[in-house]
Amino acid sequence: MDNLLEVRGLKTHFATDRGLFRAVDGISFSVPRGRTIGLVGESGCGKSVTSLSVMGLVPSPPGKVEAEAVLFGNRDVLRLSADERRRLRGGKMSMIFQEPMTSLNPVHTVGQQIIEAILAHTTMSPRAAKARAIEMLELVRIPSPAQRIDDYPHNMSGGMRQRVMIAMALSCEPALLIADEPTTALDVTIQAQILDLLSDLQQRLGMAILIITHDLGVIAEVADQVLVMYAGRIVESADVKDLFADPQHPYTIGLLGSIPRIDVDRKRLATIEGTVPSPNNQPAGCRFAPRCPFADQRCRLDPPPLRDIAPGHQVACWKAPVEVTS
Amino acid sequence: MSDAPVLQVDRLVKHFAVTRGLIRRKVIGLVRAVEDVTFEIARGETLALVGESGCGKSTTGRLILRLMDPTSGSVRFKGQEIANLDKNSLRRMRRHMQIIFQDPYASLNPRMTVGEILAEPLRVHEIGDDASREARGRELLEIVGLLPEHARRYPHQFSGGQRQRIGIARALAANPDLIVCDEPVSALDVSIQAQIVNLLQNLQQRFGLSYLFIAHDLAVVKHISDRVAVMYLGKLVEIADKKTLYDRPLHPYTQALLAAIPKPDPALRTKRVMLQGDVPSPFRPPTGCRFHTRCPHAQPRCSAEEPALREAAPGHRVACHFFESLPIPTIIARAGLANGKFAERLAAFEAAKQARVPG
Repeated sequence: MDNLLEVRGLKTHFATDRGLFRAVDGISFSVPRGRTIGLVGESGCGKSVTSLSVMGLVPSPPGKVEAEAVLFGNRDVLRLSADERRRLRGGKMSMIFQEPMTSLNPVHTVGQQIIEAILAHTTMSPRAAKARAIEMLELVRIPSPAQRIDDYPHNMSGGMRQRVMIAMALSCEPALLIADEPTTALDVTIQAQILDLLSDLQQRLGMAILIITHDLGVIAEVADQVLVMYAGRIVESADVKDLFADPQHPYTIGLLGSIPRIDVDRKRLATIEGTVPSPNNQPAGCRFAPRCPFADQRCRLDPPPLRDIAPGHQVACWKAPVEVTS
Repeated sequence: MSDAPVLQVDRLVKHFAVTRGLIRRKVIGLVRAVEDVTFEIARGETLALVGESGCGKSTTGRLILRLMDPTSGSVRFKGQEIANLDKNSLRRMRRHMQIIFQDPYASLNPRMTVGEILAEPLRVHEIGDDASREARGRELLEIVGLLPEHARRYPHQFSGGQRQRIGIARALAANPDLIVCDEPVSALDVSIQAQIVNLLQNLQQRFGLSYLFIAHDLAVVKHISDRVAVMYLGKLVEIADKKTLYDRPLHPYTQALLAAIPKPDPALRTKRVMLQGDVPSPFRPPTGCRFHTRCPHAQPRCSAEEPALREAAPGHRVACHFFESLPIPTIIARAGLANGKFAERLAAFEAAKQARVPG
């Protein structure tokens, strides 16, 4: 398939007083054109740092981004100049964040902020840019956009502000939209509206989406392909249906078992014992080994590579597939 | 007495005055945060209070503990009215009702050791001496799944999930009857969330606790509660036992909330009926039924007349003029995980865990 983004061997490390934090430690994945890839994991697994690394938003120092290649189209974005990178960002590759309150500037109207993005990336006149901004607000279903364009962020609700962020991100027709926890700060009824809006816009505009979330429910609703991250590494990669029906990595199994669900009645939730290892003190072998009920000596010493276990389904586990009889 | 409810909340109201002006403060209006809320909690029961941001669920929790004074209405704890208790009697009463907060980072004093944090409620209520409080602290740490030697550490040395366990231990210190859990798992990762939910369930069985479980997540609520009360803009719109509420939700808002939850199963991916618009401001709530501006079934009567909370079945009350005639959406409920590879693997995961942990 035609890959829009191809990440090979990405490592993002941070030098801190307490040692080197390996936030992302050698991950590879690709995002095909027009598809939605979900990146899921818990706090500190490196999912947000992955997206910031791709966008070129990791502050350096203390951060250091290394990779064999991060190909966008056919260009390696890590080899671009700062100026070329800036033109790409917000243009062909754009991003929305979790907190729509802090990612908008409170002293400018939402219109000014969208227009700024358009003027920075196109040769449009200011008047045409304003018309485009109104058109974008209409696209994200903000009622009476010609009036709301003069609102300040504080005049809007959380859901409305997230719509403005989406309008801004899509104003230059990106080929790739990175959405980092786009609905986490929103109430469920508003979350449903925003997720519906994103998939509708994807169908109309044809962009690829990399959605980053801790919520497996959101993943099940929107993603085509899923990457599960744990402690800086990808532990499983599969088609969304396979991941939920046939999870292979013990972490994925435990994670799916620990979510309370309204469609299933159960007495007890499954739990994964213990906590995530600290990023400056990772276990030598498989990073999940200290919490894994199947782990043996080999798991503790030898990190498992990501290998094919079925067509289109990869897992980084020595024990997979685990069966009841084991 | 054992059959009497632990908590009775009757027509509870809280209005906040909105003022303008620095020198001459003028009240320009009221935010009706909690309006006419009535419910009971039985001994050993968990009542969940659910709703979206700004619906008044946390304010209700605070009014019950009288961390805030109600505008009107009554709160009775084990039969005794607490809305007009003086300071000293209130303090004695609070020994029996405790709270667990959402944010385990903000709710523990960073300058106190865990041992001091756990001894404080006992000191305030003048229970035991220093030595017995210290022993109780160590015992509490074991009860919540931490180690006795953790008493010497400070909160910053713990992860979010461990801090929430400390918050739970503190709430348990003085042997309360009722614990108000205000979004106790919403700041935690899913794998940690499951540990805390299971812990709360174990403690309830072990000590016969009653919980008021305040949450926005209907999936967690389904797991932990016995009965559920749904709030919208300060009003109770539906209250029922858990099974009824999830199988036969009658209020259009409850139905919409249930439909909006993303289901962690891509096979169930469907085009949903969605609520349009945002929650209106509680400063100027809509007339009549407060939900009519977003309700897919709204009729002229809804904007004119406020619906009363009416009984639909014993123990099931709904505030909607038309609930008898509305269609009830089918919400998929299965008795367990479907058979298949995931269920098998989860069973293997649990079995391996059991084999590993002795006992």
